[in-house]
Amino acid sequence: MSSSTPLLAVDELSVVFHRKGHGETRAVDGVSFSLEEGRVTGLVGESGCGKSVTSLALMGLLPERGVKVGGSAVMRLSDEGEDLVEADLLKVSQRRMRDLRGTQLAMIFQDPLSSLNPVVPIGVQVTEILKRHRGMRGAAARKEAADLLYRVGIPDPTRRLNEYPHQLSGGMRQRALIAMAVACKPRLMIADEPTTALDVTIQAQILELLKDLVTEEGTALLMITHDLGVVAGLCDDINVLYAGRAVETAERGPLFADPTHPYTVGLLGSIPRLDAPRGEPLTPVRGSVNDNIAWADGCAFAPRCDHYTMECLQGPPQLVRMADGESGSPGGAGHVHRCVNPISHADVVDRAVLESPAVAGDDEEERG
Amino acid sequence: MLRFIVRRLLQLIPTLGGLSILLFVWLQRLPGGPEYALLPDDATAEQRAALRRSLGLDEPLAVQYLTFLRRIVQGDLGTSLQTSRPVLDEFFLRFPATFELAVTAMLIAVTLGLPLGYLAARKRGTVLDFAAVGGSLLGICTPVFFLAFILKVVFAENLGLFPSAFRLSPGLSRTDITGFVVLDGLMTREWDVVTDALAHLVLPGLALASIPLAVITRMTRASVLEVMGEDYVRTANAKGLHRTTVRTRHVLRNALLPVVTAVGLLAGSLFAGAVLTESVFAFPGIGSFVYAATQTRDYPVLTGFILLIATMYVFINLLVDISYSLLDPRVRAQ
Amino acid sequence: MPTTPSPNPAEPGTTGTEEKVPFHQRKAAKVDRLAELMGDRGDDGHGAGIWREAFQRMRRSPMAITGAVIVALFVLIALFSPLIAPYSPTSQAWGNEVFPNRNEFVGPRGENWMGLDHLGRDMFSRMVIGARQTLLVGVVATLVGFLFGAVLGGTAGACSVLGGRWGRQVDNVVMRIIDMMLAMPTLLLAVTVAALVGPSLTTVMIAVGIAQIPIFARLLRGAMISQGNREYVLAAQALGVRKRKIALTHILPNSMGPVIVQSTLTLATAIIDAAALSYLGLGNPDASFPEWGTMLSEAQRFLSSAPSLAVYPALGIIITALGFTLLGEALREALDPKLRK
Repeated sequence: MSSSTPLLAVDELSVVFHRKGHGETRAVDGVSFSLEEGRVTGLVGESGCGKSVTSLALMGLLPERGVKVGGSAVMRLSDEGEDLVEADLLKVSQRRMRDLRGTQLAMIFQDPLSSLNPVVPIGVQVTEILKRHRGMRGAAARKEAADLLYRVGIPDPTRRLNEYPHQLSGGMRQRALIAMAVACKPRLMIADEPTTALDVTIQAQILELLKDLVTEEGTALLMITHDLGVVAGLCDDINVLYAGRAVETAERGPLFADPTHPYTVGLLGSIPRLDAPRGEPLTPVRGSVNDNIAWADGCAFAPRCDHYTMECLQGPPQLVRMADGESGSPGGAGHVHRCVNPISHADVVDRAVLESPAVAGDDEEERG
Repeated sequence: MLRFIVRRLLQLIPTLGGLSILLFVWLQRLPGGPEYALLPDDATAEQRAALRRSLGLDEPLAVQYLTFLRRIVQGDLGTSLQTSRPVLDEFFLRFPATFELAVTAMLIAVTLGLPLGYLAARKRGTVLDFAAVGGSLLGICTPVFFLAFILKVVFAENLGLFPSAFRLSPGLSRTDITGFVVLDGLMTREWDVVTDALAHLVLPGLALASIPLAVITRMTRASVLEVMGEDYVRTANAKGLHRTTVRTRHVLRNALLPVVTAVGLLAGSLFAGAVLTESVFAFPGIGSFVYAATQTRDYPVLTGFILLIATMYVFINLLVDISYSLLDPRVRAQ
Repeated sequence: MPTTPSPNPAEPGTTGTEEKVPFHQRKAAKVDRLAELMGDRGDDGHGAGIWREAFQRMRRSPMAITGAVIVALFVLIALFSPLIAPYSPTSQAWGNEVFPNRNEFVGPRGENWMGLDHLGRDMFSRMVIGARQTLLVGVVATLVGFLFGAVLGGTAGACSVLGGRWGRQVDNVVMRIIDMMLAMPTLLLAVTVAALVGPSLTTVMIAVGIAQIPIFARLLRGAMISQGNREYVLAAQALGVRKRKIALTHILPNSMGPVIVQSTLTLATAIIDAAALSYLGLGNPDASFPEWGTMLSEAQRFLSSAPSLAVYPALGIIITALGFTLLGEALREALDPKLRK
C-alpha cells in the first residue's frame, strides 16, 4: 500500500445547479477531503448541506444538464508495481466511469425499497453486476450471487434469488443492496444515509455489517449521515458540512471532545442523552438550513449562530488549522475549522456521544 | 395464476349483470316503450299490441328482465331494422373487417408511439420532444372523421397513392375461408389479394390510429420520464451497468407497465372510433353498419353494439389485468 | 446569489474605531448587517398557497401561456360575437353567387373575409357566431359531467372515507355503476344517448356531458379517498368535528385539483365529441344556425371542391380544443406534487 497518496483525494469540489428562472444554486462550494483504505470518513450535516450531492458527484450520477461540477477527485486505481494509475473521477469519460462504478467504487443508497427495481428478481439484480464486471455467466453467477447474499447475512440465499424486493424486509433489502455494492470488491464505498429508512435495531445490524466489511476487506468507506450517533460509532474522520462547505474537520476523538465550530457544538447539543437530568430540554440549533447568507458575505451559519459578531459578516471565513496545543486531546493535529470566533473547549462540557438514535431533523433528498 | 383468472372472471358477473339491467331500463325508457325500438315508426297499433304480447310486455318487470337476459345470453340481440336479419349475425358478418382495421390501427399506434414517446423522453426539451408532444396534442384535438376526410382527399383522391374506399378493389377474386381478407390471402397465397387488402387498410388505419398513437406517445414519454428519475435507475447506474442494460431492464421494463393498461383501454375505444372512420372510407365493417344505424335509428343494432363493446371492454380489461400481473410481481402477490 | 458590496474586512482603520462604539450599538449594527445580508436572498415564495404557487409556475410555462391566450381569444370572440360578426349568419344574401353543383364557390374577398359557404352565407360571420354555440356546447356538456360526476363521486368518496361499513357499501354500489358507464367508450355512450333521445343541440350537450360523468366521479372519489387517509382528517375526527363538516370543509376543497384540471380538458373533449355527433347526424337538425361541428360535417361534402369550407370550422375546433388541452395539461403539471420539486 502506498501510503504517500490517499486512495481518493477530493480537492475543492464544487457543484452548481442552474435552474430556469432561479439562477444558480451552489450546492457544494469547495469541499476537500481524502479517503484512506480501511478507514471510515463521515460527511455530516443537516438536509440540504450538500452531503448527498457530494457523493453523487463522486459517482458521476448527477444529471448532465443544468449541473456544473468543479474541482478534482483523484482516485488511485491500482497499486500494482511502481507506476501509479490514477483517475480524476470528475473528468473521466462516461464510458470509463461506467467501468469504474461497481469495480472501484460503489454506492449504497438511503431508501432500500425504492433503490431496488420492483419488477426484477433480486437474483438478477445481483448477477447482472457479476456479469457486467466479472464476466460470470449462468450457474456460476447465481452461485456467487447466493454466496454474496449469504455473506451480508441473508439467510436461505438461494431462495431469495428468485424473490422480488417487495417480498423482503427492509433490513434484508439494504443487505441485498450492500451485497450488490461489494460484489466486485470495490476499494471505495459510499453509503448515503444507509440506515435512515430502517428500524433502530436493524440500523445497528447494518452498521455492524459495514464496519466488518471495512475491517475485513480494507475498503474505504465514505459515510454520509446526519446522525451523530452513527458518526460516533463508525467514523474515523469526520467532516461537518454546512451550506456546501466544510466547517469543521477532525478525527473522531478531537471532534467529540473539543468541537470548535458553533454548528458542530449545536449539532452535538441537539442529541438527546440518556444520562441527562430529567426534564432538561434539548438545545436544538434554531432556524433551518435555509436561513443562511452567501459565503461570500460572511459565515453562512451566522443567522443561526448565538456567537456571531461583526467579524463573522465581513467576507468568507477561512479554514483554520488548530495549533497542537490548542486541541485538548491526542490526534488533534488534523483538526480544522472555519470560524472567526471558535468556541474554546473550556466552554463546552464533555459530550461523549454513545450509540444514540437519530435526532437531527427530517431527512429529505436534498438534490434540487 | 388460474385462481386469479377465475376470480377475475367471477368479478365480471356483477358488472355485466348490472350493464344488462341498465340496458333493460334504457329500453323501457325509450319513447313509447321497447316496441317502438323494435318496430319501425310507422307500425300500426295492432302490430304494437301483438309485439307487446309476443315480447311478454304484459308480464311483471322482473319476469321481463329475466326473459331479456335469457335472450341476450342465448345471443339473441334482436333483429336489425335495416336488414331484417338478426343483429348478431350482422355483427359476425362484419366483424373480420373491423377487426383487421382495428389491429392495423393498433399496430401503427404501438410501433410508432412507443419509440416516439421513449425518444421524446430521452431527448427531453429538444426539437424532437417538442414535435412529439405537439404532434400528439394535435392528434388528440383533431376530430377523427375530419382527419379521415383529409387523408382520403389528399392521399386517395388527389395523389392517388391509396384506394379511397372498401376492403378490396372491385373485381378482385378471392377465396373466403375465415372472413379475414389478409389472413385468407396469406393462407391461399393470393399475394395480389394481400397487397390490395393492405393498401385498403392504410388510410383508414392511419385515421383510426391517430388518437391511440397520440395517447401512447404521451403516455410512454411521461412514464419513461418518471421512471428515469426513480432511485432504482440510479442504483443500476451506480452498479456501472451498460447503458443498454439500464435502459431496457430497468427503465423500459417499468415504464411500459402503465402503457400496457393504456393499450388495452384504447383497444376497446377503437371499435367506437371505427364508426367514424369506416363510414368515411365506406369500409364494410361493423362501424359502417352502426353508422347507418345511427342515421336510421336502428335501435336493436345500437343497443346490441353497446352490449358488444361493453363485453369486449370487460374482457380486454381482464386480459390487461392478466398481462399486468405477469409483468408486475407486486400485483401477482396480492 | 446576489452579492452586496461588503466592507473590506481587512480595512485597517475600522477595527480601531469600532472598539470605541458602545456595546449595544455594536450589537444593533451586527443585527442590521445580518438582516441586510439575508434580505438579499430574495423571497422564495414562503407560505404561498398551492393554487398561488401553481399560478406562479404557470406564468413561466410557454404551454400555459399559449393555452391561456387561445382560450381567452375564443371566449372573447364567443361573448362579443354579435358585435364582431358583420352580417347575419343565416342570411343567404349572396345565394346567387354560389353554385355547389357546378363547383362554383366564392373565396375570401373584401366583403366576405372568409368567403361564402355553399348557400351563399358569409363564412366569417358564421364562424364568429359559431364560436358562441361551440363554447355553449362545451360549457354545458362539461357542467353536466362535472355536476353529476361530482355528486356521484363525492358521495362515494365521502361515504367510503367517513361512512364506516355502510358507507363502504354505498361506495361499492356507486362505483359499480360508474364502472359500467366507464365500460362504454365516451363517444359511443354519447351516440347512444343522442340516438335514443333524438337529434338536437341540447341532445348533443347532454349526451357528451353524460359520457363525462364517470370520469369526473372516479377522479373526485379517488382524490377524496387519498385525502381522507391524511392525518388532518384523522385529527379533525379525533377533535369531534361533524362528519359532514369534515367532508365539505376539509376533504372536498383539497380534492378539487384533479377535477378542475379534468374540467379544462373536458371542454376540449366536449367540443371534439360534439363535432363527431354532428357528423353522425345527431346534432342540430336545423343546419342553418351555425355551430362549428355542424358546419364541419355539412362542409365534408364539398371537401374536394371547396376545402376551405371545412378547413375553417375544423381549424376552429382544433385550435380551441388545443387551447383548452394546453391549459389543462399545464395546470395539471403545475399542481402535480411530484413535478413540483
